Amino acid sequence: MPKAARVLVLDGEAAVRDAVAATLRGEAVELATAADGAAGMACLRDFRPDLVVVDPDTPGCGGSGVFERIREADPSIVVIATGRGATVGSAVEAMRRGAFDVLPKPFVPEALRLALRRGAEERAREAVALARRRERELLGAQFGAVVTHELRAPLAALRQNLAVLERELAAVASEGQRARLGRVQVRADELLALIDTWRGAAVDLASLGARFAAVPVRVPIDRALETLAAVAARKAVEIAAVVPEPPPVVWGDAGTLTEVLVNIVGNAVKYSREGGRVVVTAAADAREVRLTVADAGPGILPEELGSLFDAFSTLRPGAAGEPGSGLGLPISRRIVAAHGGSIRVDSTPGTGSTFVITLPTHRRDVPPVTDGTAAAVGARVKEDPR
Amino acid sequence: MTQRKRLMIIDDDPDFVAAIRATLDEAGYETEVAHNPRDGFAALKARPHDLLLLDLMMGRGAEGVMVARKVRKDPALKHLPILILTGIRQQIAYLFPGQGVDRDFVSLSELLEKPVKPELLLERVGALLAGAATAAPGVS
Repeated sequence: MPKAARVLVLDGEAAVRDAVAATLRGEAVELATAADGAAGMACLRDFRPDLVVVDPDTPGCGGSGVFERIREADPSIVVIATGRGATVGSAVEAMRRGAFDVLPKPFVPEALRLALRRGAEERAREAVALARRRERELLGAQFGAVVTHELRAPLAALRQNLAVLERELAAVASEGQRARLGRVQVRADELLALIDTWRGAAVDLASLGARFAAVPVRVPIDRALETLAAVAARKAVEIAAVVPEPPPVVWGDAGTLTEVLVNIVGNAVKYSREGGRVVVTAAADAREVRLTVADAGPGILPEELGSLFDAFSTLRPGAAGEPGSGLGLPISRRIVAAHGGSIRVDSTPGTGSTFVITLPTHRRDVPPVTDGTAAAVGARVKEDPR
Repeated sequence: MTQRKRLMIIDDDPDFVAAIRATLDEAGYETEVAHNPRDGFAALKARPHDLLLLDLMMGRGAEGVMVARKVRKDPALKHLPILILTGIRQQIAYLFPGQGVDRDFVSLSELLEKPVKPELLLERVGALLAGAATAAPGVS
């Protein structure tokens, strides 16, 4: 063992405590002993052991629940259960309640040493796993920022050079070459816009709650329909909104809820046939607000439904061959989850799809934001970085 | 005819630099490039420049911010206009928790996000040079 393991022995039998102390004398172990539950719990706090050897029959320990209480106090502590009359049943019960190992009494010194050595190894593994988990969490928090910068930098350099090339070649390039150069720039811009969308969702979601306010659902619905008006008009798709008056109110962020609706209503338009119809309905009871988006498109096959909300799982191009990023639904689901809600989809191939967004209803005793404020919030979220 | 304006570019992405340099050269500016903060600051101290184009995210983090602060603290350089070119305009506050890009620094400088339209780049460079000339007549 690289550094002395801190071992607490919690046992009502003085003979056992003394025998353990004698066995471990001269070993790289710091030992503390306690004779009852109260002293044991105080020791957990003050001595901060790595390993605890505990007999659940010790006075004041309350039986096998003691294993759970120790792990609750510090989940990284490795617990070794001991006791008289141990059976396979009691050993299984101890391990189910969080013990790492079982050492039946009476035990010989070598059995104790072995149990402690194995426990110390487990403790070291746990420490490494814990450090990895913390690192992952930290990385997760920064992940959006780091990755989008790494993705964006080469793309920015590429785009900057394309702009210069366009100027420099304007006089000498053929019409076809100029058109291709133009298309390359459009595609690079699409990629930049995609990274920005993703960046917005990745960076802001953690702190979204700070911006929550009472939002009448009319606000994000109207803003989404306004955004999609041009796309729908091009395909002659009619979008109808059925919202009761006064509209249901949710507790949330108008800007990101608008983005959710733009994604989902936009999908409905994308997968609608020309001249089709998309219906957005709002309904509410005391507990939840349901926003329903129904289209009469080709529907989604049962085998496609499972991965629908996974990143980059775009099924197929839209009815008019429109491509998708495969990020709209995953981002939408994250946004809705950050609001304490959920999204599900019902679909019948050949008949159409219905997406249902469920959000918690907001209590009426907080005044809702005005349309102007909601628009300002939305503008901040959707602000174009350029 | 007035003397050509000298622009210093500090940015660690040679491809990005090649593109904006082509735009600036074509517009008649004299450009000098450094690919790291240390060489860049040394060049600023060694020769007079009219404008600094500065990348924020270099090396191990926001080293461009350190360059800007050093320039602002330097008696000979503190009036040099700085045009920040960055890929992370939206994330500046997010990426420097606790450090903060101080308010004076940001308001004094122009900040453009990469990629930047060549026309916009030339317009901002021209405006900053004109502003500097008005603020300090007699300083070349």
